[in-house]
Amino acid sequence: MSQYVATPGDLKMGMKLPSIKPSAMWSKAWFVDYDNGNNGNSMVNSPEFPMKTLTGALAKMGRGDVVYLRPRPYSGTDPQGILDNAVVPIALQGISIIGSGPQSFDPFDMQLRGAAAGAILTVRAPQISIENLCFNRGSSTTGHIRLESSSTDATKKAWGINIFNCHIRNGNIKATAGGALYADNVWYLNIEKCVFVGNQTAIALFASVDSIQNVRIANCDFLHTAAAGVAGIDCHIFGNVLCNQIRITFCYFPGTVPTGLAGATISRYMTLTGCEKGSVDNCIFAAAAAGTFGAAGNNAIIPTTVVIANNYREDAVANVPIIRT
Amino acid sequence: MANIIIKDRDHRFGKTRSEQSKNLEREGWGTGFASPEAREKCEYLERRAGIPFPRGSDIEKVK
Repeated sequence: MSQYVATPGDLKMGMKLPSIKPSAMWSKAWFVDYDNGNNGNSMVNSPEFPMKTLTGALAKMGRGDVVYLRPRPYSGTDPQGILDNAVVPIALQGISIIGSGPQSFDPFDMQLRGAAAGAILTVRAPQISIENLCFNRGSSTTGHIRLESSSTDATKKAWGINIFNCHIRNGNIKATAGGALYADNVWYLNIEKCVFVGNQTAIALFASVDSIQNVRIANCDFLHTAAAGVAGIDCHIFGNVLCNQIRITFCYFPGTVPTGLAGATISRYMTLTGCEKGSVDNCIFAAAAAGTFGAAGNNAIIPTTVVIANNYREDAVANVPIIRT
Repeated sequence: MANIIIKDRDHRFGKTRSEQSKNLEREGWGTGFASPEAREKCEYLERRAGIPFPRGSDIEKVK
């Protein structure tokens, strides 16, 4: 994992600031335990009476509530997943969806998987926080997490979304069709400290009606381990036109340049065609020496409106700064 | 005197994120944080910024 460097605005533990009594949360806590829960439970603030699925909890939650999800037992090499296709409707503004960790701090343990066709989690409400969860093996047509917003649809207002410390794995969808994490017309999106593994497309940013604005992708790992052209990796980050103010910072791309399966459409680390006013900075790539990063790059398409600074690629003898070519 | 716990009371599980995490651990659900030191950082944010439920990404920024 690449290292986040504190900025002057960050708090340090020893800083002397006035002590404030935190205002009490006006929200309630809900719990999901697939193996011991029942969606018929309605007791809030009580882990002794958990729901079975996230969908069951969302049906009872209110604005600003928090739901904690408990991992399932391991089976083979993977934890079993909570099977679900959950939707956060617009009425649930400000909720937090958080994985708990009885065994570890690794979000890999708390897996959500698709129960049927469709995204594992669709978000249509603003100010949602998603933390400490693993999304694995979702639909090949919709991806794992769908963030939907639109100025022409009053039921879709997913802006101000925070996705932190999540694993997003095995998404089987090409860049031009979507991504394991798909955001459409979303403003103020923060994706931080996440690990993307074996996705054809890890993140896809679309602007089907309006635009994408203020996206920060920080401290994330984008992994694929198979040989180039075998795993079907298409593109780790796909930013469509009208994608503005995007920052990709302190991210790690250790795999070879994606070349994709037959029919892959992008075959690059990222393509930010049409993106404006952004930066790709402080990232590490395992790119070949002959590869290029720029408006017509064969490693990454990064238009001149997006700054490239302090990025490096590994070489046999030294780390080599990446320059726009 | 018998202890009476009103389970539907809004704040029974904790008024802040760090209080909720302590109760999660007590109930055998582990932690709702991403790292061992996160709860301490969370408490710091709650006290210093008055935020009852800091997001993980904000907790991460406390150094």
